[in-house]
Amino acid sequence: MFGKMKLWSLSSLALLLIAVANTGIGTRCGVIAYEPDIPKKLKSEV
Amino acid sequence: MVKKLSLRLAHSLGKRLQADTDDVEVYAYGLEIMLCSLIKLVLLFSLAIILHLVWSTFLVLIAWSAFRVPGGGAHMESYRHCLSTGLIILLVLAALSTLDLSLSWQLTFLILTMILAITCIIRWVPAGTEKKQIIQTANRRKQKRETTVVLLLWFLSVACLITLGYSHTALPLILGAGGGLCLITPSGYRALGWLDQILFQVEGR
Repeated sequence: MFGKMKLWSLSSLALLLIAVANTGIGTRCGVIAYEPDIPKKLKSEV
Repeated sequence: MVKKLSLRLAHSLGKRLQADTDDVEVYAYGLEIMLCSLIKLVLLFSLAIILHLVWSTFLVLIAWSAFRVPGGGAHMESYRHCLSTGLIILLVLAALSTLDLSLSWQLTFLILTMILAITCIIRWVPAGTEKKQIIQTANRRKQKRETTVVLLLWFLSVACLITLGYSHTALPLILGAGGGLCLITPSGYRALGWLDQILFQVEGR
């Protein structure tokens, strides 16, 4: 049960990170004014 | 440092989820954005608490981000520069917003910010950078529309606050918006570029 919960939590975290990464590829910049290098996989989205 | 930490955490997450290298890069990118924002917010509000500027800093940040998120704008070349410059600009604006300005001055700033916002929306929004450009017309129009909605909401809020006599709340919103909008203009890009050069020289690079 705990194993499943852990996997579920990690997958949720991964989904959240993907969502944040996708907002990062736009010109949108709320708090930070610095651009990390865009990963290859997301470059086609820009 | 943040980049290295993000990569390490992303690798660990990717290993547990059996993700491929491309996905790990995306996780690291998302983590870097989140960590950079978190560090900046924690430092900003810690300094705001020390300087007794929490409320005005919060309002400046809200107005600043409200325009920067749909409007885009200038970025700096390193996180250190972004952190130091961003903290100074936001705290200076927050400190200025505590000044007891007369109604006529507040209205003057409100009108000037409105003119700046309309000019930015028509001419430069969405303001991209070398790494990020919004080229598609439909997306450009969408972000212009979003910024216009923000402008209308911001104007209504500030006008209501001034009318009701809450000028100490209106001024941070005006200065925050003005500051954020300045970085959408070509002069804002030039100013940050120039600051970047100076900071690199100071660091000896």
